[in-house]
Amino acid sequence: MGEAKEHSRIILSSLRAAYFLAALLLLVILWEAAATLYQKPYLPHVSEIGEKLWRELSAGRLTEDLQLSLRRIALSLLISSLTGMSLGLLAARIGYGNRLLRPIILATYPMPHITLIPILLWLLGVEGSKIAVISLITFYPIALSTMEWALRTPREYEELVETMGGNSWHKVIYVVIPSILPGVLTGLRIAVSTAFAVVFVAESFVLTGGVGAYIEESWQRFDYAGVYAGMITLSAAGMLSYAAIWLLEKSYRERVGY
Amino acid sequence: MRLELRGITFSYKDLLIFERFSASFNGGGLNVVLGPNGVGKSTLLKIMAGVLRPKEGEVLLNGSPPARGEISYLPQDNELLPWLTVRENVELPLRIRGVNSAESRRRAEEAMKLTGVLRLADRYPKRLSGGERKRAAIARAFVAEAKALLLDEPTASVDPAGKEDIWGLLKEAAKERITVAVTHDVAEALLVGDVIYVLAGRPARIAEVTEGGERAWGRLRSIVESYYRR
Repeated sequence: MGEAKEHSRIILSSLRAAYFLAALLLLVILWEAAATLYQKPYLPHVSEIGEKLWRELSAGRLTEDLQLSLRRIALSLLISSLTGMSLGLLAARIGYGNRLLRPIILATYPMPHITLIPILLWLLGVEGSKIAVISLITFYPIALSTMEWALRTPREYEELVETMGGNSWHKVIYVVIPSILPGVLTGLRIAVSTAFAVVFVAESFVLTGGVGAYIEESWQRFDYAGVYAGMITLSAAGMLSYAAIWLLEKSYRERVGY
Repeated sequence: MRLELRGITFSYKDLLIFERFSASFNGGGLNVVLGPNGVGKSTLLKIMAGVLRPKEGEVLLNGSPPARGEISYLPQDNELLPWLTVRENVELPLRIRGVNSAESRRRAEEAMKLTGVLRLADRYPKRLSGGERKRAAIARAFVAEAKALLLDEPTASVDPAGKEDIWGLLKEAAKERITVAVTHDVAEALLVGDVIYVLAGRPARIAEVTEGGERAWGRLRSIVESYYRR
């Protein structure tokens, strides 16, 4: 019974992978058809993009830029996760937090934060402003999902810990944090995808390396294959990070059924 | 060993559940509180466990207010934390008290062996049956060395064979601590209870109905029938 279940699970995930590859192949075919049909410099052939990507990766230029972008994204996500989780928890769990912090988070969420770049640049310098803008934008999905999940923490579990003699700290450690973890991971998953989209903007306003800067420089040189090579690099890295967090989230949910 | 409620008044929204309500439960035998759904059985347990605070009145354990951790409470559902394994759940009261990990592990294993869940120690509650979950939660109560054990419908999600096991365990547990189980199942209450109470009415009143033989059954039946008709 268990073996049959495992067998069908393997078949299902292979099928999903096959569909994913088929979708990717379809995209490549459509692109190539458009490139052949229109013959425009901004629509290079797939082979040109592939060659450019291979050359830049093996020469190390794009790899270095990717490392720099990943470092910036990781640091920003660390900042946004810590602040997002803490403020999300405060907003959901503390009376004043709920009355004051929650409306502030909700009201500032739809603001176009990217417009703050010049001020952040002035306040925090070049590198600091890049980290700050990515952190600021990725803060919201994490804070909001933490807040929503912390509001739903089952009271019964907290009562259990209370009857064992647990204090507020024990409740946070043994109930609140594990119960919001799936929500935090969902928020983080959305934040990661956003981070990869925002890193381009952050890295393209003052060019100090990173895939965003690489794309911007390619634009300035009319090197369209370079632009697409940079975009593919960023989106592949984004997709892999997204998948890694999704797997983590899925395994946690499957294990604890929560 | 005695767990008492004195002059408890408790309302939920506009409903007056208890008004100057008093009751007492002794150790040495299994106390079973019988009552229809919605009468306040769970509320009664939660007040005794200190989870709900009454507007008036007090709960006394052997004459003084119970300290946190002295009373173990098992809700009907969600009796184990789903993100901890059975072992971690059983060890939790000790971890909260700051007992070192080797000692917690040893005591948890002893309790799990006693309740028959040692082989399930590394499983998460999601992978347990209703009866296994209950037995793990009872192991946790044993580990906590609580003076009183309160259980809300302990056999509600348990198959018939499992029910017998759980009641057997509770009868054993009741020898050493005050044990109060609430249920709406009249037959089960009669079968296992050493002391049987009926809780009914609004505000709720409690009556002990345990006496010997046929008379007890007749009296219990008439009380239960009159309360259930309300």
